Amino acid sequence: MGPFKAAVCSITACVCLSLTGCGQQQTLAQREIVRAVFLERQKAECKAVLLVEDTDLPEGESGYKTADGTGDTFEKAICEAELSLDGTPFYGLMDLVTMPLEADWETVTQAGQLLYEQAQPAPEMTLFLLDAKDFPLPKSAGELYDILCAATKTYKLHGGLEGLFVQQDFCALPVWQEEGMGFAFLRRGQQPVRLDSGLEAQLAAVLCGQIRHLESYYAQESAYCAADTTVQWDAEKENINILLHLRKTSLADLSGQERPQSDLESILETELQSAFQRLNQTAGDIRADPFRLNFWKTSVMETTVQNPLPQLIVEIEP
Amino acid sequence: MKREKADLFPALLIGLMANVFLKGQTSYWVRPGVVTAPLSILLLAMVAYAFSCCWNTGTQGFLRWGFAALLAVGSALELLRLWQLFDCVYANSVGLLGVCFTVLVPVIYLRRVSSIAQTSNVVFWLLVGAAALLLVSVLDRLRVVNLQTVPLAGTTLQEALTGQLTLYPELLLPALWASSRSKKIDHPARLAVAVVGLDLAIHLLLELFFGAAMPGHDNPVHTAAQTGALSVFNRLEWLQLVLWSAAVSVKLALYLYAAVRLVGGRTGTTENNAVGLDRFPLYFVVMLLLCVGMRKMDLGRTLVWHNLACWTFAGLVIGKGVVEWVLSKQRFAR
Repeated sequence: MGPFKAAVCSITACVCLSLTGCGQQQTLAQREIVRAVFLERQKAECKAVLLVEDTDLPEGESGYKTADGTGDTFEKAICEAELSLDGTPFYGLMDLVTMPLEADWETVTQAGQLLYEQAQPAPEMTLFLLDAKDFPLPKSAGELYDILCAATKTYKLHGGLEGLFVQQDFCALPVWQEEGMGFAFLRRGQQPVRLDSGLEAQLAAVLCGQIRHLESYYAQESAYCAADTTVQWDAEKENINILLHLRKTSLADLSGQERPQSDLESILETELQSAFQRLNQTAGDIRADPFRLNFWKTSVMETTVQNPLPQLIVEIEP
Repeated sequence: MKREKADLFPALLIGLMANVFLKGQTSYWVRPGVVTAPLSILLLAMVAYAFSCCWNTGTQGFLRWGFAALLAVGSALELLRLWQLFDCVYANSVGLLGVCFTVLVPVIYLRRVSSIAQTSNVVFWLLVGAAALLLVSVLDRLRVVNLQTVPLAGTTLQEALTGQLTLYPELLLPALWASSRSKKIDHPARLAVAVVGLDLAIHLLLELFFGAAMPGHDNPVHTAAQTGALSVFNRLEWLQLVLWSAAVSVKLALYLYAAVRLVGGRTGTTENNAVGLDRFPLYFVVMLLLCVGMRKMDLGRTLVWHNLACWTFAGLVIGKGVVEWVLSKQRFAR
């Protein structure tokens, strides 16, 4: 290549370089790594609290700092919180989002959309509806983050931002309150249905594919059960069977009557069956399909079956 | 000698895989997609075969330059698509120039056609491995109930056909070096089966993953990859990004090789060099300028226009070939 051509190429490359915005990047150290976003509503005002990793601590230590903002929408609240940070927020390592307990389908999906579009986080994160009365924010944000992360591991929670949108007009979310984990059904255009009872809420979460571990009191808190769960669907031409396997089951009698294990198992199965009936009733009331019966109805069952009633079969293994 | 033996089929496959993996958005539901897939395969294979047959007869300069221009714009669009993906995932961390360097510098090594063939074999199997890893890492998030039971109506079938009937330049490229009649049939048919099959498989994976939300996602394959986690790796999207960059490099090298064959130059058809080193800065600058010029365009719409241009170009060549064949028959009859 001749010197003239080389000069032309170099000049062109320089022009391109200046046009392509080289040198505007920010180093990783200048970013604020957001680990969790807590959204809450106070009357007509929206509030966002960002839990950010404290990178100023000495090596080996870890801690958090918070930034909060308010606005008439969650978008404005998050923007205000971002502005109070020292650097540019980085959402790629965020693994927790909480939303207000009273949030309906519209609020939850709008907030979910906002997080996808504006913050662009990694979508592997856990979502909770949170009763903020029990956990004043931003004071207890760090402690709450640790509690919820521990709960995620305990219950083998398997949510994710994409879980909000897998059905067009319905989503289900775990609820965290002082008593522990609950569950909520959110249907477009309707009031959310919250399930506060431990076993019923956890059964709903298991059947929705969100948790894989049950840990709850039952029999009016006279017994305690902990088990890993797997769910199998067996659709036939006229009915649908849901096989709930409880593995590594540990049942404890708290009544002091020393009931045999078979009695505890039988009581647990009865309670699970009645909880399942109530869940079906609730789903029918809000015209939702949390357990995705419509898929089996369309794919496997005969078209003459209008409203298939699923049967729950419980198998308990020690 | 190496060129005669070098098989560019894996490189063509990589180009198609990159197209499918880097698609900005999904375009149809799987159920109608399965129904329309045989027709799409047949149409694409027929067009690619017809193009391959007619190209030998239609080698005028303007067609050669037209094809080269399609390849150049296609290369710039690939770079812009990768840049948008990087920008979306790691906002403000990688500029367009950075992406151009990352992708185009390996093309210096890939100027030789034997290098393209050898590298594409390695990258192909790495991509297959990465796809398997992606599948394993998101396996526990795939739910069969997420499959949508959409009716097989005219609209959904039309959407599926439109989505599958993308005429990628890779389907037309074998025409440039297919030496025998059997290769002219074999390569387009295999490529058409590969592109529609892979597209359908990716749509199936994404529908099992996203359910009803699938059409609304930007960069859906990457979003799924971000969620994937194995016990060894927390997140795997970096692996996908590295391999996708490598795949785009191979694809661009193949386009460059094809473009040089089309517009001619110092390198003839018997040399192993696809492009001389002295010309590489010119190629780099042209790509950079194209990217800078097109960076503000709506990428989705530009890709649609590029696809339309490919169809029009293929139609032109096939039409010209048919007219020439008819005229030659008439001359022969007289």
